[in-house]
Order: sequence, then C-alpha cells, then structure tokens
Amino acid sequence: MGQTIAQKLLAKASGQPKVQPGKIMEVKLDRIMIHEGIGWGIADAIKNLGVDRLADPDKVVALFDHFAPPPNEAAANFHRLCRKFVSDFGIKEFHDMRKGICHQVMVEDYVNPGEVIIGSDSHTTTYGALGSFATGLGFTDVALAMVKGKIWFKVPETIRIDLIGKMSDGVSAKDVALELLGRLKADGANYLSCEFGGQGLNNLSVDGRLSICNMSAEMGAKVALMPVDNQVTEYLQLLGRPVLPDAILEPDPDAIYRERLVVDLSELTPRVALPHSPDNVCPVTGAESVNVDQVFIGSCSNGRLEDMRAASAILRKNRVHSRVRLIVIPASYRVLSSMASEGLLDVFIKAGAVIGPSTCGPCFGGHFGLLGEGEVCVSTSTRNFVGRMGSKRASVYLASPQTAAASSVAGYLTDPRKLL
Amino acid sequence: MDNRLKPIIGRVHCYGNNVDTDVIIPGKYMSSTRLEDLLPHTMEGIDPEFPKRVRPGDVIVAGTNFGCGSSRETAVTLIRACGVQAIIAESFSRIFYRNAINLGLLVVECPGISGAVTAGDEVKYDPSSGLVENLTKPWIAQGTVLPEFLMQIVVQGGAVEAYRKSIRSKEM
Repeated sequence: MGQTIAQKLLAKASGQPKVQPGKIMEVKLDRIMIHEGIGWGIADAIKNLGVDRLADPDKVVALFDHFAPPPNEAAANFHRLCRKFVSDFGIKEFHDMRKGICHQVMVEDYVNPGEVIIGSDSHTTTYGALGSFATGLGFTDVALAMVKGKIWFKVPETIRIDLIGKMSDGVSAKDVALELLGRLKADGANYLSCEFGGQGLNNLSVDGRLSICNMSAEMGAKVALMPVDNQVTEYLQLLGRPVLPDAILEPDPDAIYRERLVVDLSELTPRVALPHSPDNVCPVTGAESVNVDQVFIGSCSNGRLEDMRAASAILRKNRVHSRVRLIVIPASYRVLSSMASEGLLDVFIKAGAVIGPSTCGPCFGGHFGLLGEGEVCVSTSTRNFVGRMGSKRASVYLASPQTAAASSVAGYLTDPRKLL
Repeated sequence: MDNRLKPIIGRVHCYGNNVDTDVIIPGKYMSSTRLEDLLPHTMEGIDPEFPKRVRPGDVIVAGTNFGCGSSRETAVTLIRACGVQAIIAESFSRIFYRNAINLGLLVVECPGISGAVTAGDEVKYDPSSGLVENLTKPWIAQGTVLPEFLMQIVVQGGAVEAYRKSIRSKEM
C-alpha cells in the first residue's frame, strides 16, 4: 500500500520503512521554534518538570514577535522573563525582536525539506511549503519536546488537494487558501495532513505556497505539505541552504487519501472571509458595499515580499482613501530591507500608509492597530474571530493583499481587478 | 494512586460550534501572565458572565471543533482554573485537545450532545464506559473513552506530573 508525503516523512524520521495512519509514535525533532510562548507557559512547564537542561538547546530557535516591540510595561517585563529563560537554558539561536515574525524567520533561516519541526504557534504549518513536517503545539507539549528532544504524533490521514490551471490577474494564493476554507470549513482538515500537488503548483511562487500552507491551520490541519520542486530548491539555494537530494519526497502513486479535491486556479476570483470565521467565504463581489475604517497588510499569512509587491502595484497609482487607515507590516526585516531596495516603501508612504515594525501585533489583537467598537478592517491576516483584533464589536474581513490594497483606496471592500 | 478516573457529574454551560481560543481569552490581555488578571476575561468573546456564573465541578458542553484557532494553552489553563472538570463536545480542535490532556482537563467527544443538553442541566460521564447521560431530562449517548496512555496523563493531573512520575520511577 502506497504512502502519502506525511507518512513518508514520519517513517523516515522514525527509521521505519512505512507507517500507517492512526499509529501513535514518538518522533525525533529537527527544530523547535518558540516565541512569547516561553512566558505564556513553556518556562513554567520546564520549571515544573524539574529539569535544568534541554535535550539539545542548539535545535531550539527563540525570538519575540507577538509583543515586538513591547506595547506596555507589562509586556516589557514579560520579555525580560523570557530572555532570562533563554539565557538560563543556553539557547544560542535567539533573535530577540530583531528578525521578524517567527514563521517567516524560520523559513528564511532554518527550515529544510524533510525535517520534522514543531513550534509554539498554530501557524507552524507554514513550513510545509518547503516539504517539512511542521506543526504547532501548546506550551506543555513544546516544553516536554524541548526536554526530551522528541514528541508523540498520531500519523495523520491525508486530504489530497490538486491545483490545476493558472490564476488570472488580481487573484492570488490567499484567494486559493480562502477558497479551500470555504469548501472544507474550519474543521475540514482537523487532525489531517493537507497534501498539495498538481500542475497548478508550478504557477504559484514559494511566497504564495507559504501563505496557503499557513492558512491550512485554519482548517484544523496538523500539517500542510507540498512537493519540493525546482522553485523550492532555487529559493533555498538563494538563502544559502542547498537541498539534499534524499530530502525530496513524492507521494506514492497508490497512496491512500481520505478525500481528494481539485481547485482550478483559472476559475478562481478574489475571495473574502466575512466576519467572524475564516471559513465564512464568498467572492469579494458579493460583499462590495462594506465600508472600511482600517486595512492591514501583513502577518505570517501575507507579509512577504510578493504580497508587498502586489499591494504596491495598486498603490503606485492610487492614494489611500482619506477615511481609511492603511497599516503595512512586513513579516521580517529581510522583507523590509527588500521593500526598501525595490522602492516599495516609498510607494506605500506616498500613498498614505503607516509602516510598522515586523510584529504579530494587530493580527492577534496585541497592539499596533487594534479596532474600536463598530469598526471594520480588511486584513490579510489569519483570523477574523470575534474580538480577534480588539473590540468584540469590530468586524474583520480576511482577503488578499491586492483586495486589501484596493479596498484601502476605494474606502469600501473592493475587487482588486477594478484597479489593475 | 487509583489509576482510573471516577465518573463525574456536573452542571452544564452550553456553547455552539467553533468556539475559538480568541473568544476564550482574547490576545489583548495576554501581556499579563497572572491568573488573577486573566480569569475575569475567560470566555469574554461569547459569554462575559461566565467567570461569575461558573462553579467548581461544572461541565462545558459544546458543538464541533471546540478550541479552534490559536495554540494558546492559556485557554485551557483558564477554563480549568475556573473549576470546570470536563468539556464534552461533538469534536475538538487538534491543538486544544492535546493541551487539555496535557493540563489534566478531561475532554470527551460525544456526537449528538449539543442538541440534547441545555444550560443548567446536570450531566454524568463515566470515563470507563464512555457513557454520557443527561440527569435532568432522559438522554444517554456513547462518548469517547480516552486511550490508556492519555487517560494516565489525565489521572496524574497532566503531562508535567506524568513526566516527573516516570523519571522518579526510573530512578527507583
């Protein structure tokens, strides 16, 4: 019986020829990513475990992104506690708030195909775009994994998603992710691996693929996995991490899938997730009368260079509506640096945007652009739950960078194809 | 120590589908790690009166995908600190389910429960048989029985305690 990519990765990690879905197994970890989760529970759990050392501190990557930089005194003191933990346990791969949002930093500096990675953040599924079995876990699980160097997983069943065709102008990877959410719903991939394939993937950049794997967490996916093709190999080569040939895994032709679906990219139009769930999806044209107070372009979902290029293409020839606050936050300082050298910062500033430091702030309702009562935000971020971005009487519409940029210009939710 | 969980009986708080961790504890409060700062905001997004109404031993009953969204374990910490002894739902989100077990909070999947129980009812759950019963109006259904290795984590009060015990038993 054939195996899916998820099965092959877990089999390889555990030194077995094959593993079957449903099997519970302990797996050695290649990387563990931690952020402010340190102070939210990881440090306490490790203290309560009564240990004074980690299995391998060099496999741990630590940074701050949620409260970067601290919005208040409590957060500043919170970071002090986190720094002490990092120092006490000898974690050398520590970047404080200098690098950006955890998932983008991991992709830029650490993730390799074939690795098994966990993070103290639900959107760790992002790394599957580079062929890594990567998933988010809670603080106790992460603490135990840091101490033991391994963790238990149930081998997941897999949903196979084949992409065909090519997106038309004004449509982007975020629209693919939203379309999938609309079809599979918020628990449609709960406990499952989402395995992507098909010729349509060739028409998606690595940045776009990362966004789709990122949003798979919103369908409950344990992991999202994409094949390691030439684009991924070149992407990692440019980052100085050549791909080892044996790291490239394809699913077997007779792999068993729980469900299969096909998305024809050429038929896709801009999508939006209406309040208050990422799976409440309709075409942007079905919600165009909504007036907008704030637009946010950023987050681990859509704060990458491709997103900034797409948004700036619309803002190059248009100004932000006088009633709208446009907040632009690059996912990392590497992205910010590229935006500067490509002249994109200038485009955003001239159009009337506010540029923020790399942070999760507005997406998780921490700081840097929260919403007041009754306010409406079009956001490229990950979630639009009640109260997610501030007031629980605010409304968040999730959309692509193009849709967000077009909406910031028009002052209401707008199909970006009108401004291309 | 008795290595089985005893049947539990509790008064019910009812919620719908897709209760996410942002409504359980919004991110805007999370610069504090002090339980007393966070507890009054538990379930704020859907039920602001919950912290005042909840009593030790109560049970949360919910629809599908309970605990979806952020991996913040704080959501489980707070529900447990409010005195809730179990959550019985149609289904749970993956990370929340692991977090609950790891913190020693009993989580039970029970298809059909959301239409069969209303707020204030008393329910009983037997961890050995998996049977879930409404004691206020006649209704009984089959819920899940935790796999043995997860049951042992809950019995010992969570994954940290279970790990400490396993280390101690190796040393002896």
